[in-house]
Amino acid sequence: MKRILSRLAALFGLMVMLWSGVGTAAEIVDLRGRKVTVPDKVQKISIDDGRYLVALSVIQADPVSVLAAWPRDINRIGPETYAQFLQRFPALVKLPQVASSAGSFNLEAVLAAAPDVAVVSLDSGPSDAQVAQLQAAGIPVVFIDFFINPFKNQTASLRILGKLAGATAKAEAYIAFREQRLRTISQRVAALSSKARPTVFLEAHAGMTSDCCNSPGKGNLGDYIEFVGGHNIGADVLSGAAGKLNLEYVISRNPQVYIATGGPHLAKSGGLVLGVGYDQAQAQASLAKISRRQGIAELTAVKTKHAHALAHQLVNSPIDIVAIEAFARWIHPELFQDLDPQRTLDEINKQFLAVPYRGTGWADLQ
Amino acid sequence: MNDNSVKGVAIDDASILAIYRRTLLRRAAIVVGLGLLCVATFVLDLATGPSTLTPAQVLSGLFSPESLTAPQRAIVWQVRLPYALMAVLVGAALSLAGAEMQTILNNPLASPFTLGVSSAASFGAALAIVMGVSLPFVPTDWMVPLNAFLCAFGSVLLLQLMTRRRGAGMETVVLLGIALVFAFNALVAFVQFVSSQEALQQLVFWSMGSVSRATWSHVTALAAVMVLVVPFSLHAAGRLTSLRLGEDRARSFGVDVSRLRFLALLRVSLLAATSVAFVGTIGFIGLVGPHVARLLLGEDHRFLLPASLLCGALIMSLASLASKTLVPGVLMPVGIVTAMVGVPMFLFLIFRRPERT
Repeated sequence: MKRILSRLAALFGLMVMLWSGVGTAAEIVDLRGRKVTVPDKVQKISIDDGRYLVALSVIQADPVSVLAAWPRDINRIGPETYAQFLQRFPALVKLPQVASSAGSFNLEAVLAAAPDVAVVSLDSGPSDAQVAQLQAAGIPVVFIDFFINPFKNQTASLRILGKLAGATAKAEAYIAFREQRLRTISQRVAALSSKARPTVFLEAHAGMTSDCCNSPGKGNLGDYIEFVGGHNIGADVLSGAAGKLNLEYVISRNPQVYIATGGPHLAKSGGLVLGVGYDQAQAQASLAKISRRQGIAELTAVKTKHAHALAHQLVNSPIDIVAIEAFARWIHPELFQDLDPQRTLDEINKQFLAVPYRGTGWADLQ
Repeated sequence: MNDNSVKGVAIDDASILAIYRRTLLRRAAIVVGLGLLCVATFVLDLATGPSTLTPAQVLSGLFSPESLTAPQRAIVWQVRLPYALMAVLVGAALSLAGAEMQTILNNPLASPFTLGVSSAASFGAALAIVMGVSLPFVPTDWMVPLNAFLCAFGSVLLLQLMTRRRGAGMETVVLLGIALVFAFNALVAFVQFVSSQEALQQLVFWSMGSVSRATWSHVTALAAVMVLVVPFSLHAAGRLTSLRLGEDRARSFGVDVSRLRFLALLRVSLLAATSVAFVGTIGFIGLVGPHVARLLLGEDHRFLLPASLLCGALIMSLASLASKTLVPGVLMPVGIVTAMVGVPMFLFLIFRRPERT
């Protein structure tokens, strides 16, 4: 029933768009603040990051149908997620390939794919000259961002994708769903005094290299921690969005909460693995192994079991609200006892995601 | 400095011996001085860090760990001590390797990495990181160092094999070594090109060189290699000195030059490969450490080798100190800092030296 409703809503959104855009060209303000004129009937877009496919699957029942080309960067979405998408949408395998934002931009591939709009990534997409070339060839270029400043840019990016994919209504429905949950958290955090912010050490991609302490600095993942009322110890010393902390600094700050992120991409380097394709027992065993590393094992947060693992796929993604709720519960258990990230994820799986997220998204040290 | 007075006219044997003895004493004093300096910087390195531990607490923690709280104990025993020891060991290993390499290649620009050891190690690490190559019975966190070591050591054996076949002099060894450098660099670039973003990032960090991956087992492994290799180096010091006079002169003293070279190359690659495997590429030390030692006390390898070892340890220890203090709370990869610390020291020595006539 809900699925039919959501499809109807999507259809309705599409009709509204078609109706409003008859004969005119629509204008979009992208994440660079550029005003881009896009055709009123966008049918196919190209993307330069496979993770946008996951974002599209939040708002489109058939995300592959709106794609003219994608970068086939299976390593970024993970082979397990790719397999799930491929099973559901076999057309994915025949989709033309364009360069991913991680590699060098390939103008010819985009021109050959001839999308109505080329969607590219903020900061890592094509250069100004390449954008001009694309525009001159009649392909409007739109910048979006789910990764550099996910917390701030996500709503605007999803809204743009909604417009381009003809799924405005579903995009708005998801944005409302997310923002309502964010409000619940921000209202309770607003009542906190600044002293009541527990110190948090968030180790991104834990165990990726044998030397320790990748941490977010100012912005990026650190924003999530500050949002749920924690204090990111990396933000006190790192000036950029991310960097490496001195293990001694971490030990001496003695953070109250330790959060490690990881995923299938760390399996090769013996790092933290969880997420799609891993069950709860594997995730916990991996977290336990990560927590036994030299120096980390001595942290009070680890000894008192305030150590947690999060699948990195959940942050830097449209379904980051699940991660935010998990953060909130870990950092302020007394405030957020009633939050249930699993229920939120179930709801997103049911109402939005075309390919449900299956896997262990988070785990606690036992 | 009256070494030159030997050229004077009327000097009897006794006074020549006296002069020689004085020179030896002076050189020995310099080596001892360097050793003391090393100990001092090592202690300074131990006493420095972003936490509020006082030097006195660190020292007492070393001898009676129970006097510290658990986090403090972790800082001293699991962060500062292994990092500081690793810095000293790596500096010593690379610099000693550099000194031998410069002598056997008769080339002041040679370093342990001239013949492709570090490029090969990078390639090995890249394979482990990107392809996730793993061997049974080897824990995953040992795979990268192990693979780096195997490739580095393998490249030297390959080099030896090719040289044997060609049967030519040092020039050929250098040329073949340079061919290896470029071949491995190209392979590393290729692996980087096809690797995912995470793997690429990992690789970049790996190759920057950092003592912060030091664990006690790494420190022990490198120390064991040092204990194994250094006596052989010192034993060969006399023959190496004779090589500095020219290959023919060395042969006339009865030195088996090609055997000497092969064994020295073997030691160099053991030292360099082990260091690179554990801390990544740290350039500069292996090139400049020996030169600093040479500027201080000349070509006599009985003193040059230990002095090179100590100079390397000293520079690395200072670099480790700087990498902690430049940005408090953040640990800079020490490979970035070594040149910043070493260059001023090097320039000072060059300008202080009397001009050559």
